[in-house]
Amino acid sequence: MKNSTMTDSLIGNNPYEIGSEQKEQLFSEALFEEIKFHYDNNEQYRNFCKNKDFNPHDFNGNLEQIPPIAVSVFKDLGKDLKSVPDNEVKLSLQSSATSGIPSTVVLDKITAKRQAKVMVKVVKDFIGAERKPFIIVDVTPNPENIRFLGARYAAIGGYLNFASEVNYALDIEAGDNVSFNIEKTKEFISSMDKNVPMVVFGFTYMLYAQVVKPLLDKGVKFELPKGSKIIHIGGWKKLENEKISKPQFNAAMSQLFSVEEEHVIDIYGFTEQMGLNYPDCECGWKHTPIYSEIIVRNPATREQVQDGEEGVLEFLSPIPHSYPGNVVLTDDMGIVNPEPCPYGRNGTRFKILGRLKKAEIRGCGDILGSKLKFSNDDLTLDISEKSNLELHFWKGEKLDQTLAAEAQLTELITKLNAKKQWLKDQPIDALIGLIGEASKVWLKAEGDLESMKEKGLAFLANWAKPIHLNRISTIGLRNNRQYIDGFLPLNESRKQFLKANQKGLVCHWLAGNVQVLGMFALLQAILTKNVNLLKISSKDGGVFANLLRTFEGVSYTTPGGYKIDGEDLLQTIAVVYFSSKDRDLGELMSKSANVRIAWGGREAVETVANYPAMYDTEDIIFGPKISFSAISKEVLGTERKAKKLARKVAVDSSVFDQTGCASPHNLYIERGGEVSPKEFCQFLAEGMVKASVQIPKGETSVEQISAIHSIRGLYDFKGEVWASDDTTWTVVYSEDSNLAAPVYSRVIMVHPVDHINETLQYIDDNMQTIGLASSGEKALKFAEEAVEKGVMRCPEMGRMLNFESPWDGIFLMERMVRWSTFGGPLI
Amino acid sequence: MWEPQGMYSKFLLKQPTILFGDNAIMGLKTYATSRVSVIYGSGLDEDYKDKISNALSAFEISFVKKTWIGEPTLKTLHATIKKIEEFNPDLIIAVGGGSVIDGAKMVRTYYEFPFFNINETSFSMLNWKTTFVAIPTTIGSGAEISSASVMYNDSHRTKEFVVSHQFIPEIIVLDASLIVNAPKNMLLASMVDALSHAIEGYMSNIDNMLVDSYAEKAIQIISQFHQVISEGTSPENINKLQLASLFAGLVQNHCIVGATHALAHQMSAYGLSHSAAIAIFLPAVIRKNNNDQASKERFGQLAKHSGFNNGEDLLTFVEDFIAGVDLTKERKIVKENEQHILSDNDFFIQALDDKGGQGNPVPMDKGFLLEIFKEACS
Repeated sequence: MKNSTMTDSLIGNNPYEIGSEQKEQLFSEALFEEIKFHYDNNEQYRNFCKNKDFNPHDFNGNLEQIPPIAVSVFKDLGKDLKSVPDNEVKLSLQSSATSGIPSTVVLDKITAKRQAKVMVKVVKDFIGAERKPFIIVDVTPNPENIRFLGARYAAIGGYLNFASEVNYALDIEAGDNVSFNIEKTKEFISSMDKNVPMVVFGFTYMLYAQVVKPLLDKGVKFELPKGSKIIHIGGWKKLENEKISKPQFNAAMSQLFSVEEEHVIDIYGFTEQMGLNYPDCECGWKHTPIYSEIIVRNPATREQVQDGEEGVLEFLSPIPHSYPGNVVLTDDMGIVNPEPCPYGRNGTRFKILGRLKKAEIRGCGDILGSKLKFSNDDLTLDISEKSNLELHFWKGEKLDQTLAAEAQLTELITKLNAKKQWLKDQPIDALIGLIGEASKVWLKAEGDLESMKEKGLAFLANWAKPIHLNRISTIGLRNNRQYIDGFLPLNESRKQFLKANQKGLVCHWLAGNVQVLGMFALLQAILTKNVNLLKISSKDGGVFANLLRTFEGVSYTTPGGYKIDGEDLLQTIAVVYFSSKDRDLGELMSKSANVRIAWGGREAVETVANYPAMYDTEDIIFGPKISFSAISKEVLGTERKAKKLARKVAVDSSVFDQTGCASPHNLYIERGGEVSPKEFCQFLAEGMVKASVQIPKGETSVEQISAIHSIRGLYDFKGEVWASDDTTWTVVYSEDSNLAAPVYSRVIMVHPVDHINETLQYIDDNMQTIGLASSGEKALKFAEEAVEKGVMRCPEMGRMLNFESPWDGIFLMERMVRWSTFGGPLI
Repeated sequence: MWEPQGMYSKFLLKQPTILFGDNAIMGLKTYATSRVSVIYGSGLDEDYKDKISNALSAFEISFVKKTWIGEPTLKTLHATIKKIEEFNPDLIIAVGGGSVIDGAKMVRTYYEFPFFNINETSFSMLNWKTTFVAIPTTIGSGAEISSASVMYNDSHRTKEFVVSHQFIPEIIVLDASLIVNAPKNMLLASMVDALSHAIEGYMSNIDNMLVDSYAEKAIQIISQFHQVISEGTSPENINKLQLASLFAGLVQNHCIVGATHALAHQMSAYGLSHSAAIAIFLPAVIRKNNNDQASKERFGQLAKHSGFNNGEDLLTFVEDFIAGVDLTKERKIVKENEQHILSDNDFFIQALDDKGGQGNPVPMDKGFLLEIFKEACS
């Protein structure tokens, strides 16, 4: 790079002096000079640009048309993302990672110099050019404290450039406990010139934890000279759970140090564009200096929003030279104010509104780190909170609503148990017939059920056809469903007879991700003549009650004339909701259960497992699991076969929007077939388009959208991405064969492998399903090894989500009955 | 692109357990069962009921008299199904003629699969949990080994064949004591029916080498022991004829029979019993088919393998046997209706369409059947 670049001349200017029109050209030229440099010198970046159809050398669009790099790229690739030779790299900088994985950027001399220069220029504009006495609310940055300070060490170092004298206000004690040294600080203040303003500097969360919280209550107050300022950096992430707002924080700080509120300055910045600081202006907004620009984008579409609309923030700056961090899309939400600043600062005014929420894990993929031990550690410490008992579906006798929730639940359980005899008296074939009648209604999917159509209702309807229920219950009840109706010869013996009996009350704790699954368990509980109490998830949205309502008015008469009414069956089922934090209700339900069935994520199933239960209660835990798919080269013999298979993978990846335990998130494809793994991605993309029509996608949350963009952004760098224009579906190709964490929402990661057996290493007992497309001995060997390692099923592709028996290694019906014998024993 | 699949043939022999001999019924004792329902027709006496009860190791036994007359319909089956549902048996015995056994097959189907729908359901799901025992009280029809169950659809006024090998009983008890006292003429006519099953099954355009030997054995037994009927019936020999009839039925069940059955089925409208109608048409059909060289050779082969010198001898035996059956009444009916039938186009169309007659070795048309009919009348 030449000695005097456009960036160098840009940063020679003061940060807020130049008006927007003049800035536009200066800034744009400098920015493109840098972007072209990265394009020419950084293969990964060039690859990314090509993926995005962007070439800076012949680009003449607007700034918002430059493809931004997601911060996730720096978290994943940071260290390797270099545009300069290794010998020019002086330092790699890591974010403090107050949450999640840290971002890393590599710095060369040029970048470091630029960073220092723009930082000084910006900070000076707020605290003045002269050095001032600093109270740094942290420990002394001596070598023994470096470990404790971590990333704060460098930041403190940066600010020392503005300090004449320094007081480090925190003392470190054994065990990394720190405390605010009030006396020392008071002494420091009184030793200074009363007419020279001072600066209090610290990290926001340190100030909160060590100053605001402990000192405010004690009534401590420091008298700082007039004009003193408090600057704090590091952001609010760690304070999100504390109940304090920025104005409250500012008020508390201003009170403690006798500083005017507008002189409490929060400085925003982020690792990927280190050196660029955005302090609060007296006008209450932040400004982009001439060294950077901001674009606000719609979190879902990534289109630029109108000024004044909230969105996710993208920062552009020519400062980064050693790595391509010039156009960075952050996870931070903000807003731009187009009005001019009354205090005369130029530059786009903006505010940070918080962080884009991380996608909440809605699926089964939050697998257990270790096997559940069902110990009572930490969970018993949970505070129980009282909740109401919401009756979502109950057709039996009315409950006394004036009673307390616990008394109501007790009454409900008593009423359910009173219905056991009725169920006992029903022939299993009549129950099958009745459910068969309901399945006809489900198949139509009309009215309230319409929205369920693509959420497994069609499959449920087919599953609940009599012919299939007959099969399920025959398999489930030791090859003769009629064991539940009476004593029959055991194993063709004339001396010994076997009978299956209801267990009694089956309590279900349902999950929010795949509601239909709960229905499969309920129907099998009914066929085994158990009464049922179901606690739905808070996300149920009335779905379960709607499914049950189908039985209203439905009846079934056997060819011999036995009639069974849906209304009677409904009296054996209750659907309730109460907060999972209400331990008392949870325990009561658990203690009454003869069978406990828990569906859901780790926390949910652990909660249930930790409730007390009768010693002989049968526990069926359908905990979190993950799944993947594997294709061997033999089945990719022709393009036609590959396309057919791709459609099936697309179906598996689209059903339930990938929230099922059996939903694949990763797909391994063997190299060496007629169709290469990469070519397969193209077919898969076509399949995903078709699947999106066939299986319309449910609502996608903003958080989920952000996660999708984040992964797409990352693989635009690391691999290749095929995706819908919106966020409906994403196919990611990655040479890396590690099992990638689920993103959900129809994001499928494709990895090439030389042999499907390479994927065996990813299998443990958190793995539920492997969709397998292979053949012959190879397929059998793979399946044998896979199940030994913990996989439950290796179904055909396109049917991974089809609930079958056994499920999760369990023949459900067999677990919901008590077996008894008559006569014998034979030996 | 669709690629033609390789064609193959498949031999299937659903072989039930056959209990026979003096105390055949006692063989049921070895089967594990909890509750047994016995569906029976009109002629079952109390002694035999006791005999059945003694032969079973069940806790409970219920005797249910069939509620249908002639061919069962869903409506007439209903009352029997109700009783079976209420009793909840795991073993069902049908004691009676073809109508009882056929009806009981449907009762069992609706009992085990209440959702069974003749028109919609694939029969592959008929995976029985009950055991079905057939104790035929007649001989010749082969109902006890038949995969077909005939049901009359009262709403559509059509006869429906429900065909699945799953309908074949698991156990067949051939008890001669139920047959010995049957009228001689009826027994003879029944044996003609059995002969026709063996001959038409063997001659069928569905070639099944596996069952050929059953046809040959059936004819051989019948030719060897038929005189026992006229000479005075011994249970031992009746039992042999029951077996021959079973073998012949088995042949019919695996190969589709031909013109004899196609025509005979139409005669029930004129009040002729099935076996009498068969006796009237069988020789004419054999002769007609033998005009075809290949058919003639095949018939000759059957004759040799079943102990005759040639086809002519076998045909003569068939004719002599039939001559020993009193068909006076039936022949009279046919004669009376001859002209009417010959001018009744529908009679022959229905015969050509008859599902039970599609196996004739020579392709049939109206003229073909017309000539047979005329010859049978002469």
